[in-house]
Amino acid sequence: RAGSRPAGSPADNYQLARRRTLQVVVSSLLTEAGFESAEKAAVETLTEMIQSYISEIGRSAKSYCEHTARTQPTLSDIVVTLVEMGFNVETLPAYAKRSQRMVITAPPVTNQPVTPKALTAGQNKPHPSHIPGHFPEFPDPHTYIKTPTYREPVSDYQVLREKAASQRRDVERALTRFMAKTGETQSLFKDDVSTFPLIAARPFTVPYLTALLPSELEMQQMEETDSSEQDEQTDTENLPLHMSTDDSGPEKENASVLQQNSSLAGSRNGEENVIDNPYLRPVKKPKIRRKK
Amino acid sequence: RRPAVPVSAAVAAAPDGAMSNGVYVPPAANGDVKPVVSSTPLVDFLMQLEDYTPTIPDAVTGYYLNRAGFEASDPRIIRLISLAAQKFISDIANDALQHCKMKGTASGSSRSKSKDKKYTLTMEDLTPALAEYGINVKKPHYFT
Repeated sequence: RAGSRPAGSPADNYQLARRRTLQVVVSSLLTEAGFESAEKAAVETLTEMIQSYISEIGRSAKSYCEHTARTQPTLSDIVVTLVEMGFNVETLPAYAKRSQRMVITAPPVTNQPVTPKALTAGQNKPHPSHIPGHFPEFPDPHTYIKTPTYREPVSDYQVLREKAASQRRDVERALTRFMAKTGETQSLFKDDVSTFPLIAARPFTVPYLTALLPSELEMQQMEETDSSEQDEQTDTENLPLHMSTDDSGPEKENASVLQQNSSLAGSRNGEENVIDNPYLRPVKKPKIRRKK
Repeated sequence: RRPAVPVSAAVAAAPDGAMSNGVYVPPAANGDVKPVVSSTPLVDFLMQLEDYTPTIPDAVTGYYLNRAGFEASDPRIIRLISLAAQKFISDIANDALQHCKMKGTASGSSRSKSKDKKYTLTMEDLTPALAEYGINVKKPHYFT
């Protein structure tokens, strides 16, 4: 409560100022008693005592007053308090008259703790009728009101159509460029290869093959339903290349086309075996079982 | 050293033996108890207190009283309390001065000037003065 000196709040300064006043008072009393100087510890002791004394008188007087079902302390309460604390009240007038000649020092301190108004922002909400006026005010409205900062989405038909169209165009362009970069390209201009790459149009040897072949998804499903005879199909991928155009049976057709695709991929891979691009690796087709 | 002060509280009931102003005085008076027949002793003193300002400012005393829960209706009450506190400290200071003088002249120093005029309040003088009031202080000489 006393002694330490960090940069205190206004309330702390308030307390310290009053304590210093008490110290001044104690010093003047000591001077009047006849002392020229005093030890710091002694002055501190007396200051603490006078502060406790005043506080105790206040507390005890309040207790006596409330003991008789009153709220306002009167002179009698104080007299009783002083008597109870061992104070001789009869000598008090004599003391007061004696010390008329004493110097009246210690002007009261005038710094009141003030809440700074510089940081308020906006109008505080006024008190509703059920809150008494001496209660503190509501805080600044920005502490509890939040306004969302997103804009409402655009729902204009024309803007949306434009957006959809531009997105589609971008996707198409990106996809074709990707295919051009990873596949074979033909170029329209003789000297400029990279500006307008066209995806190379390589005709299939058997054009109607893609219509006959089941898609990969169907093949996976077929594989999952009966997955017992997978081992026999490992040999089909290692057979030497032979171009057979007879459509003997669907399984044989599958096997030959499988080898064709894998061989094409293999040749392509042979050119660029230094680049380990995951998109350029040979396609791994799922194994086919031979239906018996 | 507690003085035997008679309590003269204004009691509402008035059994026999009561004086005219309602204070109850026990009829059998032994030597110690001195019945006080006056009313609350400081009432008229309080009237004189209006123009007298004690050393402790009203604001400071009022601040400490408010912290204890005491809401003062009359500013003279505050002055009374500050006077009482002043007297309390003055009494202790006078006792300490007595101790200081006793220590000085007890050893029979030169009487030309009855001890040097400079009295310094030290803890060695204050401690026995407070002990008479029942307050025991023990301050360390140094802090480590």
